[in-house]
Amino acid sequence: MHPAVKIILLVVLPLAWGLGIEYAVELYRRRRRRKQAEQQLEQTES
Amino acid sequence: MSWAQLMDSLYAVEATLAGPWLLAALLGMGLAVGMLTGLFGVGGAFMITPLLANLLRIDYSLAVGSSMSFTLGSSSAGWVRHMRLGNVARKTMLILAGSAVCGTIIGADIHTALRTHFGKHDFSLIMDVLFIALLALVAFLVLKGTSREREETCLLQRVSIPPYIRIRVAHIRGISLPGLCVVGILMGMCKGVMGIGGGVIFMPMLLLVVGLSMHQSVGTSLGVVLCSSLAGVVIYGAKGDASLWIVFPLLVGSAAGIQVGTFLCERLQASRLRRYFAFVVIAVALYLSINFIFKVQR
Repeated sequence: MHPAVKIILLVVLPLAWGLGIEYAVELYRRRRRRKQAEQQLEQTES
Repeated sequence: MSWAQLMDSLYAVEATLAGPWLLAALLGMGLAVGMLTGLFGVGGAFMITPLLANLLRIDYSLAVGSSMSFTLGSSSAGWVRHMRLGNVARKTMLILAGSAVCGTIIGADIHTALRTHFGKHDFSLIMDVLFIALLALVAFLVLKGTSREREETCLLQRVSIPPYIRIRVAHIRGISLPGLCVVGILMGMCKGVMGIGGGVIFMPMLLLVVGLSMHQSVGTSLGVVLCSSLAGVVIYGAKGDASLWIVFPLLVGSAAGIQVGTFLCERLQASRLRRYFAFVVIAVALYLSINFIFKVQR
């Protein structure tokens, strides 16, 4: 593997992994919050 | 890439274990360090570098370069989260990041010079001593509880070397710009030589020397760590002293470990957490000390 490609991979892959995990966790939190809000709304309506 | 090629690349990493065993050991190490991150909020590079070099007998330069690449993954997520929460003093971060990058370049040169001057064996002994001293200092500071004794005006606010800058988010009216640059260079040099930073050096420096609040120190230090690690990965990667086969299992293991650590953190008292952290650090320091004695006798 060319050294420049290796350096790019050493930078990009860990960054993508870290940011990807953060994005996935944030997405999960938002969905959970939305579901809770919907459930609360249903309860107040009923 | 086929499974056989992947295993071949893992066998190419010089360590006490090879192939799937090395992969399992790295995953386990990542899991343990991730648990520390989840429990205590530390990055874990200060544990990963000496453990890679002593437990798995990976070359110190390779361990430093790989831990820097690992830090890129572990700190990027935290930095984005703190940016979103407004915990990053951007101007301070940019100044410190610039000087820390310069410091990392100097530190990496010192690392190479020490290695060529003393040879591989003696150099690893020097690094062991540095890590043992650092871990002992960390354990002492954690047990003593430095954050409580924070003074009104911090060290850098009393330095009278112009020009001065204002840090609005931290309500700091005048802080010496050359002083801030020196702090950044020193932090970067630690990163360049030992591959560590974050929770052990950067964050306490911002809290105690610069005078940022706890949350701002964490957010800003993550940004500085990210920039200095980036410079470090380029320098060490260019010399071939960083391996993706070490970095990725560590990252995967730590992602799982963080979840376990966060789960445990919610069920433990804060005062106990601090003591547990100090015990973990002391245990690693003791392991390194015993290993150091065996290395000297060899």
